[in-house]
Amino acid sequence: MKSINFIAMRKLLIALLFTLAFVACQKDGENTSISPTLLTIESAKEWLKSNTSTARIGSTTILNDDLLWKYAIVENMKGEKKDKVVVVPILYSRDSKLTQIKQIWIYDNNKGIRTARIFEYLYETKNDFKNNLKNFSGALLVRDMEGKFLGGLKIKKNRIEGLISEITTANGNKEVMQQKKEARTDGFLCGPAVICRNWTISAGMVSWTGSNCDADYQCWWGNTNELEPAFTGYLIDIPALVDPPASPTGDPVEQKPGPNSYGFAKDICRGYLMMLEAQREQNKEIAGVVTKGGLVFTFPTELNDAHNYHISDTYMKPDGQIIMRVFVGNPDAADPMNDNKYKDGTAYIEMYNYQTGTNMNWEIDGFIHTHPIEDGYDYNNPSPADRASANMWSGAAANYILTEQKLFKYSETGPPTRVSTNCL
Amino acid sequence: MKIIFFCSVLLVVCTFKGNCQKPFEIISDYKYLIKVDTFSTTVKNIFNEYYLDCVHQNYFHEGLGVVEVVIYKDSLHRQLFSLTAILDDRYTDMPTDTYFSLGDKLFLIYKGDTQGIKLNMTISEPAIAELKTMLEGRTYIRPPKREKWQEFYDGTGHKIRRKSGKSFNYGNPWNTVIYIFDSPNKYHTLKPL
Repeated sequence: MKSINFIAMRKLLIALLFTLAFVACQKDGENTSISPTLLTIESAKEWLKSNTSTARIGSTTILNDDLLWKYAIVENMKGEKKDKVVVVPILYSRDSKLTQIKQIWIYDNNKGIRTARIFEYLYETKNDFKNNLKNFSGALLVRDMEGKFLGGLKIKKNRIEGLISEITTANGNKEVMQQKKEARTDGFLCGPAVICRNWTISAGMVSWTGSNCDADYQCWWGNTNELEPAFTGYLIDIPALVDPPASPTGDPVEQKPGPNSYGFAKDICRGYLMMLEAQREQNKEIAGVVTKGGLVFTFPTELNDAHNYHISDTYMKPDGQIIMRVFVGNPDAADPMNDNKYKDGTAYIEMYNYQTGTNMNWEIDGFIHTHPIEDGYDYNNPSPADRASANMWSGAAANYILTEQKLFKYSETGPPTRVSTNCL
Repeated sequence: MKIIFFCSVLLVVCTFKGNCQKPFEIISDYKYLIKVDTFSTTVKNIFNEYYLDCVHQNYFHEGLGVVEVVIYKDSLHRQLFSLTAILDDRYTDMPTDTYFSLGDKLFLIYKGDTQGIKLNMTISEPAIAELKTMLEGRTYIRPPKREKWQEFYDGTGHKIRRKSGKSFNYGNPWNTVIYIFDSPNKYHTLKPL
């Protein structure tokens, strides 16, 4: 896990103004409500949970598990009202061809309505991101929580160069800036700007293809009290940039499993304890794999319950992106994802990085699942169903049972044998 | 004269009712299957209650389902009965020639090792044929295992349709209950996890 790299806002003015500008184009029926509580990280979290189901950025679904709430911050917006904004980073990769940073901003707009917007920062080059966060060049796209493109800014070395009113996404769809008539009446501001149109920005993993920008006289959303006409050239600072929890090589993130998210621990003992913690917290059996290198991956727990668990060979997000998959190497298989790079007869766990378009895999030592210690239950033995499926990976991996007290190894037949471990 | 009169009356009654079949049919016992009829009342009650429990908990559907019973002794020499709800014809993987019935409720009996794992039995072909006859209309027929298609996006964002099939429920999906007898009439239960 990388350390947090907070970059304090020096001049959040434009970012604030930009935020407020988008307030003006709020749609009816969006994820907004009259803010009942003081805006804090906790209240923002609760509000977001109860007001959104699934957010999307372009073709990418954002699940609650993707939000890095522990790195969320509250910033004071610089402006007349000095309101607060909660900035929540979203999982991303810095190893992408086009490095992206995504945040959700939650704030109470000038009508007192709590609002959430997705801010997506697209760097022109990776070096810009790595070398100088205060020297941002690229694009800032803003979407609502349903993924609708609201608009964007072209920024060069922290100076706003122009407005992005139209983008083309990876799937070829054109997204046009959302404009509302009532927003115009609320006071559009006009001034000289470099207007950029017809960009090809693949909000995912495809390359940045550039833009056509022209000097023009452009009207911006906004409020005369909060946005000055001569906006071009203002500096913009990005609040609360957070180093991604993934390392530059895209290693999996150390975390406990959730209903739709994997669990991972680099240390085998930590992995065991994490599984047992998750079992207690979720009141579900937890299942996963131990790799030959001693890493512990755990499967999403959506289909598990207190006394049963489910294993599938592929775990996907609702939009079809694979979280992880398990397979046995077979060079002859007619499977585009199972080519010669895998050893024949070896079980693998594979994870996908959709930011970089790469996948990583690890050889599996064994499958492991937890048993709660409860009266009336045979927690020290595999069930008939466990035994019946013990060989489902063609003998390529062992099978383990983990309780709070013991670790067992079992097979289709014979008594389970206790495995000595210093972890329990 | 009296005999003729009696036969005439019987003929009239039969004709009137239209059906003079016997209320039940006496059939010969299965030739190759063995019905165990020596279980104690305690065990019979256990079997009956377990069967009803499977019906109530929807482990059996549409009147189908039989109970698999594995009888074994553990390393402590205790008598154990492991009961499992079977809804399909997986009994054909390891057929048995021993059964027990309580009316419509049918129980397939196996011997097990100390872990409760069924011991392989050598069953003759005629016995298997009789078993299939006995279980006719009592289980679903399993389709052959086939892989399923799944659609997903690969790491580069391309949509791919791939065959995949491994998806298992572990734990206790068939309502297995182990009855452990501490004495002939005293027992406690354990559920596998």
